[in-house]
Amino acid sequence: MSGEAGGRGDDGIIVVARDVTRDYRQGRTVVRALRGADVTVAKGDFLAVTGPSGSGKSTLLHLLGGVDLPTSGSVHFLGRNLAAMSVEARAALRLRQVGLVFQRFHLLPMLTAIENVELPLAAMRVSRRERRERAAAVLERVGLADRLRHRPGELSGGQCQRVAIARALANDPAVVLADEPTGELDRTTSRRVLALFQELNTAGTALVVATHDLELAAGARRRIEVVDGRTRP
Amino acid sequence: MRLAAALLAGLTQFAVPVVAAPSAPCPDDLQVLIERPYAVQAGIQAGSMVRLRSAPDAEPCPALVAGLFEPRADPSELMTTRPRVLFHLPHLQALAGREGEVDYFTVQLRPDIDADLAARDLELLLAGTRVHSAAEVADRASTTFRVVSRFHAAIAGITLVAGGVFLACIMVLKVQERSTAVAAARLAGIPRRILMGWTVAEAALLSALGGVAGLGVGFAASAIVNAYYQRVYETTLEFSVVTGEMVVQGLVLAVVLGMGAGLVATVRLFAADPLEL
Repeated sequence: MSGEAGGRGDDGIIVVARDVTRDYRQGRTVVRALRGADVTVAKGDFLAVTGPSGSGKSTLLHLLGGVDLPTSGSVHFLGRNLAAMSVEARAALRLRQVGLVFQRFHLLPMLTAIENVELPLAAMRVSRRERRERAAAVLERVGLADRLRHRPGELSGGQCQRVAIARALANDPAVVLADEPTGELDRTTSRRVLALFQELNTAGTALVVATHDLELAAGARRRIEVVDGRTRP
Repeated sequence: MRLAAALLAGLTQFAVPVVAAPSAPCPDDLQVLIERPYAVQAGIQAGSMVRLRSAPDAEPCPALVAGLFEPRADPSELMTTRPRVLFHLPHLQALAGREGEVDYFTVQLRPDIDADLAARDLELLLAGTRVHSAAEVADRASTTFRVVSRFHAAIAGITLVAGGVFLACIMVLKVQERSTAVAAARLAGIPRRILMGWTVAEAALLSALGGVAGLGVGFAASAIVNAYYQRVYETTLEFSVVTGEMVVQGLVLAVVLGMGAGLVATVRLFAADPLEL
């Protein structure tokens, strides 16, 4: 597929998935997680991906972020065909252009909040001083300026998720992909996370959120539903 | 004469088979030296009179304590009968009823005397006598210690292997605990080599700290062993020594083992698909 078909990024398109399928082999059985999904994410987008459990939401998110590759169809990220890239090149792309947020935060327990946020910056060889400044700034942005030196065990679930969001934002990515970010949080904390997403989106961050949370989905600018491995607006 | 000078310099020790002849008479003017710690304990001092016998059923002989001496810190003398009493050779021979018999005697030379020349002269002078240097005697006496040292080295080797396996298991478990966080970092695009580097560096650091702690335990145990045996044997000998070489070897081994264990743990972790963790 040409760069034009996928967008180069300068046209405002970040990632385009076209007719993607994804099969998993479980023993002798082939499970088709996606059966032809189409998604386009542009700059400033806030897209909610909803659907029942097992419908393929997480798989779609993995494909959009280059974590996984489709069995057929194509995914172009800033105009580059992910299938044509090496594992290392896709990892480098994710490191610089994708922020990932998980349901269970996945923070490193022995590191403080600021050290967790610094991780992607350290991997990008950002100087110690600069990464500390950037990590502190992004933690302040998510409302955790007073929790920089706390370890995950000393933070609430909502605070941990905000640290995870700060980590996803630290490298100033083109898009943040969040997989069930409120799945482990109570209603009040979920609303705070939604407010944070909306604030980030207003500031220009593109977001794709896979969620069961209808309130979170309603707060997004756009919504698509995945049913039986197919997307529908 | 060189040999005479050497002998005058210090004819210090003799050994005669102390098996008394049935009716050995007491030597005249019997004088002895007694080792100080025992003398102090027994309330004996220079000028005291003591009674000595060469066998339980022999007649005791009165002896003047001419002086006290400090026992030498010599490993070969640790297990000898205590207290040690020094005699003039003729007195000892007379007391034992074995005049003219000597098992061995020790000659201490002045620093300016050539030991090899003195040995040759002695062998010529005393027909049938074999002269051994102190180094030779020490070498022969330490054969047992060398075997024990090899045994210790074998135990240390086995302990290190077992410790390495244990460390690897601990590292695998510790890394496994973080598998989801590491998987998340991999998904976020942090290169494998960086994550592996961090894990291995952490393992090396922890092992080095463990090594330092182990050395601390080693130094403490060594001090306890020395204090105990120095008290038991009333000596200043050191029974346990932690050398600089041991310190370096211990730390290097700890770090290498730690890095190896970290590497094994990380390779196992990275063999899995991060999406399945």
